[in-house]
Amino acid sequence: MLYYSYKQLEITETEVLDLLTNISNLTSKPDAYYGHEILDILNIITVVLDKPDSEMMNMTIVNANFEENNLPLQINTFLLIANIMNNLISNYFQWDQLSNVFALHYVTYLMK
Amino acid sequence: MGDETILKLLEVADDVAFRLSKVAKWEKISLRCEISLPNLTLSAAYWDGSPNPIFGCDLTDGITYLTSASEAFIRFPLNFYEKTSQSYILLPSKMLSNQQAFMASGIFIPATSLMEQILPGTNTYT
Repeated sequence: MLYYSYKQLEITETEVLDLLTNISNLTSKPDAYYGHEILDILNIITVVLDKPDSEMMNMTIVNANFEENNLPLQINTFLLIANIMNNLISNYFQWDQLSNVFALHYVTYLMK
Repeated sequence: MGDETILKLLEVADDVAFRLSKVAKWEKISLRCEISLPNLTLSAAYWDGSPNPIFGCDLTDGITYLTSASEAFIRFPLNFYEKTSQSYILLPSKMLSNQQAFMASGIFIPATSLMEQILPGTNTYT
């Protein structure tokens, strides 16, 4: 297993897959309430992907098993995120929650 | 609000697809991984410019790979009657003829899904 060392976030590829699997399971439930968290979900994915992407060329590899092929893990990450995005689009009724949150923030600001 | 989310969605799709392409390049494996889902088709590709097989998402040796670049990638201009495996990685013809290595990503979101998010209930399709 390749272990990437990041500047601020240390997370293994397996932990990334676990996180994404949890998000995928969450977003696939038709009655789950997560409409106000759609942007947060997308930002989590961006943060998790961002570090390894920028450090891909100057990678610090710790405890690397050089015989193990990293590509299947990356493919699984890719497929999981595609599923998450498909789920987000599926639950279009959740998107209405975004406008409610926006309205709530707006009202809060006025009250200050 | 919906617009911002859609832009973010496209940005994430681009990031994750090219991330896979970069790893394929680093591993020196030509790859066209594409997943078709009801609301979304996402593709990531790396080709090393050689006649070597191009693998699909399933890397299991000998089971799924595309034999040639012309099979793996659709070229501009798009010919709907061409007998190629369907893919949303679109390339200019000269890239394949020059055996030029490249990375590519493709995303396809059916308009019906997307338009329903932006303007629910007001769309007609012909």
